[in-house]
Amino acid sequence: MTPVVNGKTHRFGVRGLYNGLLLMGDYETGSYWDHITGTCLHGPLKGYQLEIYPLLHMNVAQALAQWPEVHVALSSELNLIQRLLSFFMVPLYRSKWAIFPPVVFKKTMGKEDTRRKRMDLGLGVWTKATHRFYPLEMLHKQRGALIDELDDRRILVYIDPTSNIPAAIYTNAIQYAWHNEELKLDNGEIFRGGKLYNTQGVTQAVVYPMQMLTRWYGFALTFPGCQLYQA
Amino acid sequence: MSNVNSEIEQQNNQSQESINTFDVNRAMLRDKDIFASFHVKTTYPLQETLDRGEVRGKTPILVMNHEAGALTFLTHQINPHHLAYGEMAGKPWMVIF
Repeated sequence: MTPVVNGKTHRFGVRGLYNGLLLMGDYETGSYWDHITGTCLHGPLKGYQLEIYPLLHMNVAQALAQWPEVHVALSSELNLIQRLLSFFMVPLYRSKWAIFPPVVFKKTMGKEDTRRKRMDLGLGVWTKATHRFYPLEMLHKQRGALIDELDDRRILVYIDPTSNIPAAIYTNAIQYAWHNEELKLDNGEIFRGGKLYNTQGVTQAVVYPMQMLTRWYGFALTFPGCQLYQA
Repeated sequence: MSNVNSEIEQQNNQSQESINTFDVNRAMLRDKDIFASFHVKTTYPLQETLDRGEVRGKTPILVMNHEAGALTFLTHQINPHHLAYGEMAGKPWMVIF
């Protein structure tokens, strides 16, 4: 996100919970903001929209394949307990044994969408007009990839075999085929090791729609009535 | 820092419904930060961090795909902060997870 409001940089912090999700608050006005959409939900700036950009889940090898010069921000502000807790909490959150959301989160939740189980993990993809959830279970049943329409464009939704993390990218391909850990598209492009190659073997820029790896409840409460991908 | 060559989708996805239906009585609102945000002042080449053995190839990370460029965060480090912010190429950014 870009924390700029009416041309002025604002400072934000985590200052609340709503629908079992974090709310951001800005220091300048005390307004509260949806952390997924960047929309101000409550306070003097209600209705204001921050610019948002994809926040992608991947691993170090994948990131370096796409952005060889990319930098990393390393925090030295965590104490030992925080480090240990976070080290174990992230895998737990992603696992099927996740016990979240905690009671304090549940109290903030509205009427839930029961089309999926609350803690089902998946990839939420959205544009201004379309909000769609791809359950991870469904992606696995599709052998880890599918091509779908998102507004007037096609997207490839796939589980990267090197990280086992789902992602969506824009494509003009219509069909795909796995060859070991390579994903071959019928437009001649190949996904290999976190990189997209064209027919000449040259690395291609990857274009991502807005997306997030999320639990069903978080996406469904953020985008009420969202589309649910059905094979 | 390499520039991100990919097209950046700026989704001004203002959900009027979520604004109109916001229930302040259900929300937990605080006037101070619940978690200590991570103010990023220095970044390091990820490749060098890998070469030094501080991360592994399979280490989970988050990649901010901002108009100012890409920047990565170790998932297990960002989790306790939940929010990180800073400037890149003179442009302010923030991520929340």
